[in-house]
Amino acid sequence: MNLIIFSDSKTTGTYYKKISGKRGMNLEVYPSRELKKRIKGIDKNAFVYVDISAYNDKESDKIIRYLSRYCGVRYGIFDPKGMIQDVAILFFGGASDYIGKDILKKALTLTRLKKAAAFHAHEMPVAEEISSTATPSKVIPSGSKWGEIRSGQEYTFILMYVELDHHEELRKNLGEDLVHAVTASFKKYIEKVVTNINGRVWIWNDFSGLILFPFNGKSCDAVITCFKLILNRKLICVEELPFMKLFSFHIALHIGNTVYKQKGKTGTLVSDTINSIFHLGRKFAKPGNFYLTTEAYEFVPEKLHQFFVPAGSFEGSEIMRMLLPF
Amino acid sequence: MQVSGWLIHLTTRALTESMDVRTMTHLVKRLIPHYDIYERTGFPRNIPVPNKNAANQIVRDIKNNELFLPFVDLLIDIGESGIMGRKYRVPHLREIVAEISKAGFLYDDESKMFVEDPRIRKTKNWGVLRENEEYIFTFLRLDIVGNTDLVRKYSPYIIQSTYSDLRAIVQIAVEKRNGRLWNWEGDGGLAAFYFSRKNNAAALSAMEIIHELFMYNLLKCRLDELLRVRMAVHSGQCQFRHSFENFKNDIIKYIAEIESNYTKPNTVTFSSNVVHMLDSILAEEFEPIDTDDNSFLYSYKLKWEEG
Repeated sequence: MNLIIFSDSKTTGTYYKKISGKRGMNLEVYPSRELKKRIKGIDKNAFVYVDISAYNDKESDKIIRYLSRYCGVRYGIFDPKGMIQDVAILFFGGASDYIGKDILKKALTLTRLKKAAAFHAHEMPVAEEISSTATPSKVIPSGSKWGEIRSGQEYTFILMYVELDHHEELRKNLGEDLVHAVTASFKKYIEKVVTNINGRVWIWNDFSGLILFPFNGKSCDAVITCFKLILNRKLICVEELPFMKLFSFHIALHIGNTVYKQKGKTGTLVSDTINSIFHLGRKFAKPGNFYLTTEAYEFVPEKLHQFFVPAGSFEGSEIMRMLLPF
Repeated sequence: MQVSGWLIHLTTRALTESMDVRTMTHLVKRLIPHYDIYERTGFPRNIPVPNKNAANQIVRDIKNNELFLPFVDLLIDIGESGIMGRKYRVPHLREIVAEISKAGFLYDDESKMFVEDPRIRKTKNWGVLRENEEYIFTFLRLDIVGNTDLVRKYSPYIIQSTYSDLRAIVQIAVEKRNGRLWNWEGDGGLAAFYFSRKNNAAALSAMEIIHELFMYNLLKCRLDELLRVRMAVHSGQCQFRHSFENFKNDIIKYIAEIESNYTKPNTVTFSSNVVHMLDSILAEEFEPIDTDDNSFLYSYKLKWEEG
């Protein structure tokens, strides 16, 4: 594991004395002033601790806000002077650990570090304005051919989240078997549509899925495809889904970086981009709508701009919403 | 359709093994009204025609009269519903249907007929409709608004490429629902739907054309203005003709009338007999139109939420 500590404290060495030199542990310590400079280039799998005692009250608030927006890395806070009044706020903002002065005296242990790293992987923060780290800090084009995309490597992808709405109502009115028929038809149709533009269903749960499209840095056909899915919703319900019922679905589209793993092997994947698109699709999106992050909206053809309106901000990103046809 | 020797053999066996000569004759008379098995086989009338001989002759005659598919339609029908109150189990039907599908025809449950497999070929009569016979079709008529002005204003290249794009939009929307574009002139055309749920298919095609044209106008159109069309959908009985020029029919006249008199640009007008046959989920999308002559017409147009 890569552990990076930003601290100006002369006693920093005591914080990590129990883990320094352990096998597999790569430790780096930098002065606090280098935090902003270095954090953008940090490997996404690294864990960062920031010693908040290097800042005054005002600065520390700023730095906490900065970290919570930049959630591209997993991070924790060292607080040797007990400056943080409300520790929970840190976790709402995406922090994975908080170490106060008493624990710091005992020094950081490997067990704790592992728990902190795992905590971030499981936790799904829902607070708004917490992070813009899903924004690709640098574009790593995934090209146009799936064959050239390697498992375990990070790339910039177009990510499309799609979900059938009103699960509970469907379950209540149709029953499990019929709901399964609807979701299976829906998935099949989405798969057919996205395959036409080089997309792949990457993750699929009962009612929702995440589709990946390779991104060449220049174009995003998924914008038009999603627009047409909403435009043709009624036709799709009549022709592609069973029961002649007007189903509704919502879509979120984003462009961001993630490590690629093959379908079915994504269980251990920790990705802020994926967290972010799931949050957008599950927590922010309203039934029947199509949302885009700023990164995806850049690829909306100009003549279609009139069919989008601002929908507010979410996790630090401005969100646009497509007007609905009826 | 080319009827293979194996198919003849299977059909003959199906007849021989499932019914007597009297029933076979009764069946064939539904397609060839004055069919006389004695005359056809040459057996004297005082001798019963053997089962196998009768079946051989009937299948041969059916094939020579190009009635093979309608005859198998009948066999499937009596296999399901019986004939003269009696149920028949017709053997080899599954093999016969499989053999016919190899030749490029699929059985359409809705119309109880074989129809050409659109993945293999698309002909004007779906491979099975016969000249001068009456059928109930659903028609979709499309007309480009302001064609004359457009032709005067733009170069032939722009007009040709734009109209050809429109034709492609229409053709895709129609043919993916097993409709046929029977006629396409410079400024529009007529599509026909006969099989499956033809009213739904025509309505969905028209709606898709409206949506695709909307996208086309925003993203691809070379004109300085929107390309606009008027569409109408209507259904009724009509004699099938291979040549479109020979279609002189009230249904065709009426659809032209509702398209030109009651249809606003980029909308579709539906006659009431189409709307009443649609699934409610679709019919609910349409709004009634005020007409002077009490015709019950409905309209569809793409509307947007206010921004």
